[in-house]
Amino acid sequence: MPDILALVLQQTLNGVYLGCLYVLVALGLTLIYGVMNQINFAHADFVTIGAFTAFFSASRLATHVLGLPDATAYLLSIFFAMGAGALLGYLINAAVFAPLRDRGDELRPLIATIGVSVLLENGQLALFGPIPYSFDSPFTQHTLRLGKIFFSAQSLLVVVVAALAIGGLHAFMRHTYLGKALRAVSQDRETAGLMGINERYLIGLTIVIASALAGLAGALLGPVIVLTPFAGSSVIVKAFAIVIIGGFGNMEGTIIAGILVGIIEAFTVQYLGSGLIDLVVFVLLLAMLAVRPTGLIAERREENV
Amino acid sequence: MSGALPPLTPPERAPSAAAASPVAASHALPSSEPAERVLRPPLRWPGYVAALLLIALLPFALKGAYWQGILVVCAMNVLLAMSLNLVIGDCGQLNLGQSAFFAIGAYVSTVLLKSHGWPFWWAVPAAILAAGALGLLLAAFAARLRGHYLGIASLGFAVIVYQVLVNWESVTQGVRGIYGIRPPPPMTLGPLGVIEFSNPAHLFYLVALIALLVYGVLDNLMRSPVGETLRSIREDEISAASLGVNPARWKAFSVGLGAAIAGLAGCFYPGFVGTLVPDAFSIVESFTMLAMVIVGGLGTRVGPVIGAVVLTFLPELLRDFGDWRLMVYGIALTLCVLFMPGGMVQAWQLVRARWARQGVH
Amino acid sequence: MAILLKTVDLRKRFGGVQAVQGVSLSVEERSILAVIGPNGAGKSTLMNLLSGVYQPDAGSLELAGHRMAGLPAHRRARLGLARTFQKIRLFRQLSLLDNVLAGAHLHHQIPLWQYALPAGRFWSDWARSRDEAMALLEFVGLAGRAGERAGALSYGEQRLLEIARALATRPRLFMLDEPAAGLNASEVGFLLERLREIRARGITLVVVEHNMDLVMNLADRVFVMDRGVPLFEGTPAAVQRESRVIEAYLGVDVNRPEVAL
Repeated sequence: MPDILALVLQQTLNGVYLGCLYVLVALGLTLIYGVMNQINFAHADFVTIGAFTAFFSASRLATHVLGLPDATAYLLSIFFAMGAGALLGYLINAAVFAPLRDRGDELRPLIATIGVSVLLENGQLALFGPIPYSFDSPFTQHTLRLGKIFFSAQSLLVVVVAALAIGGLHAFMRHTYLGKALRAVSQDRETAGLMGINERYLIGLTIVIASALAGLAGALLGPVIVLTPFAGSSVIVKAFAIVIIGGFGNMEGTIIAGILVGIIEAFTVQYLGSGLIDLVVFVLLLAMLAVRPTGLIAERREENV
Repeated sequence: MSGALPPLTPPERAPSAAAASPVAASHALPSSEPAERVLRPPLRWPGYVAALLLIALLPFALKGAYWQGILVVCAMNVLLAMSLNLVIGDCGQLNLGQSAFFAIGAYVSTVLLKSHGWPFWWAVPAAILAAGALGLLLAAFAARLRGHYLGIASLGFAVIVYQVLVNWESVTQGVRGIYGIRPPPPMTLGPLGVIEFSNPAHLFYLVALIALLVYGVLDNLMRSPVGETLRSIREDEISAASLGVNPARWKAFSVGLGAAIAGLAGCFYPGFVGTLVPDAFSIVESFTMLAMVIVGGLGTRVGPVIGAVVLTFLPELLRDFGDWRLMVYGIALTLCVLFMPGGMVQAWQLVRARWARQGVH
Repeated sequence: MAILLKTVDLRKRFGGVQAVQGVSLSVEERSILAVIGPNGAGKSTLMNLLSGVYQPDAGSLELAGHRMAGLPAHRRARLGLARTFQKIRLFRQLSLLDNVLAGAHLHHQIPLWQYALPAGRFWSDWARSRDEAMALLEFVGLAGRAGERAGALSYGEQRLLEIARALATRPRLFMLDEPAAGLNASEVGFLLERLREIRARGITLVVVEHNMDLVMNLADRVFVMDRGVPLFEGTPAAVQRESRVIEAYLGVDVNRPEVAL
């Protein structure tokens, strides 16, 4: 295999792996947007809390208290992180989204979630301090080799877990009654309400699922990023870009856009340097919006006057 | 060609006696104004005189360089909150990247000052123009994007500006920052003597008077047909266009003017702090401005001013909480949105209306 | 009389649906044209094509000799075209007076600096536009509620306010999209009388309407559409005799005017 081809393949793989992480974060945002046209700015902190939950449950609880081997402990901690995310989702819905929902206003819930984000970020800062934690996944050390292409067991794990989560979510949306009801609500809220679908419950459920995904993403991201109370914010702006590129509320679009951004990022690192990632991603985002104002993948809709 | 319809005899019966819908009242101001009052221009100069007096006295009430420094920050925040309110509150364009224009004002003025030797008062208009021009660039997106799409685009815009500041090291010194920036040069003002802007009280006077001037201009603008036009775009763009309003042009006006005002605020920041690093303009700053506008009262005139004052002083008053201070700030912000959705201005009007009603009964 | 509005073979397609095709209209100055047709006939699309919410795929469009195809909505408003909307689109958070004032702004001639620092011309225009706006509110019977928010009005009152707001632009051609929808019989009576008064002031009217009572009493000519194409055009009396029109309405007897279609 020629070197250049190997390099391209290597970076594409790195990009897919990064993209999978972004998709998990962005899917949550887009799910919530789909059912209630709201942005949750605290989503970033759900990711961070997921990472810290995974860190503490893997390094303290599972290995010390339960005496599990490292690999099992890390896998188990992923579930703890999802649980933490789900709980946060439940709480933010009860405290913010549900009370503000009937006001028909897009700004105030957004500000309220910014308040929650400030609260969570600084709460973590007070608890964990600003010094980065070293969260070592037992899978990071294992390197797998395929010809001239290398990847860590962690990145394989990330891709597999993300694929499972996305596949599970997809199956849930397509094949279960609840999932179908969710899709009905996101497509047409008024009609769904008329059909006797309990919208309130479904919106709550969506936020819980979305936040569990954020927790999951945190557990997978923890060993990769610099783990501080502000870790999530670095990911969330890219997640927003992904949601926009995919078209707000469009799940398939988000998945494609997430992997696309991951690949763009991998190649930016390779050819331009890691300092320019955000610049490249957002310049491309604005360029795209200039051409297609409703996202790359979303269909154009005429406004009904 | 017809003129406006002259007053005709009022119809014998009102077309409908249906009661006002209770749903619509959720955002409603507590009482409707009588027709005579909406037809008469309100008397405003007493308010301005009171504001002038307050500005004059504040540095005497809050002594010490620390608290007077907070006053300077507060005056800058008032400018920033007003600039953002013009875009979101009056014109309804979700802008989550206002910090970018604050940054442009700060960097353009400082670079002109330090690297090109411009006098401060020449650098200020240049910085305002630069921020305004960049605002027009964002407005080009606002012309095509709606709601949250514009929100994220403006957020991306701010990320780009921040990244350029970090990466364009030959001009901005990147994350190392620019050091030793001096405050605006001293001014001699006849009988008042020499005004030294290295003294935070004097700098406060300067920024606060500029803020008051900007307030006056915006106040007049928003009561003029310009304000009516911007609000009509906020309420319903398609309707506004059907009345002859060019939405793209007026969005550009509000986003551009808002950016210019934020750029103006930016001119005073580096000289006050003495150093300039990109981190002072992260997106979090945009959110803080937004919080000021919402907490005070979106789309009202005094609301953003009050919001800026409250959110500048709140963290200071919470010093006793130590590490938990900003957490309490977050809780306060969330509770404020939950329980005062119309901001402090509307909450005050509701309280006043309740008093008035109790007075009647 | 002179032709004010003239369209030739207007066409508009949405995805796979031909919403409007082959619509050629000539509306005389100071006349009232009613546009009727069953649901989905393309009446609202026609309104949106005329007012500039949509641009036509093909065809020409003239107002008093000015070509309008391709012009955005606000430019058409400046040529003297005003409209109301089927789904009421008021500025709900603004007062009644401010709603009407937003329509009046077209006619200000205030020097720029006076916007920031009000003086002479600003105050004279301020007072004049307020007087005009109050006169228009009076005209629709809402003057006493000028300071209330538009969102607090009843449905029928909102329709009237939309009329006052559109009139504030001083239109030559005024198009109303289902002005009587949701109104009770006495409100329809008031509306009919006001629309006649507006015409008497020299304004040409195009009215899309389902209420046959109103159409037959008001219109000089009636334009019937069905599935995007013109079906018939003539006087109200001729329309009532025309069997094709009756068929289009699937056997509904148009001689029983109180039936809202």
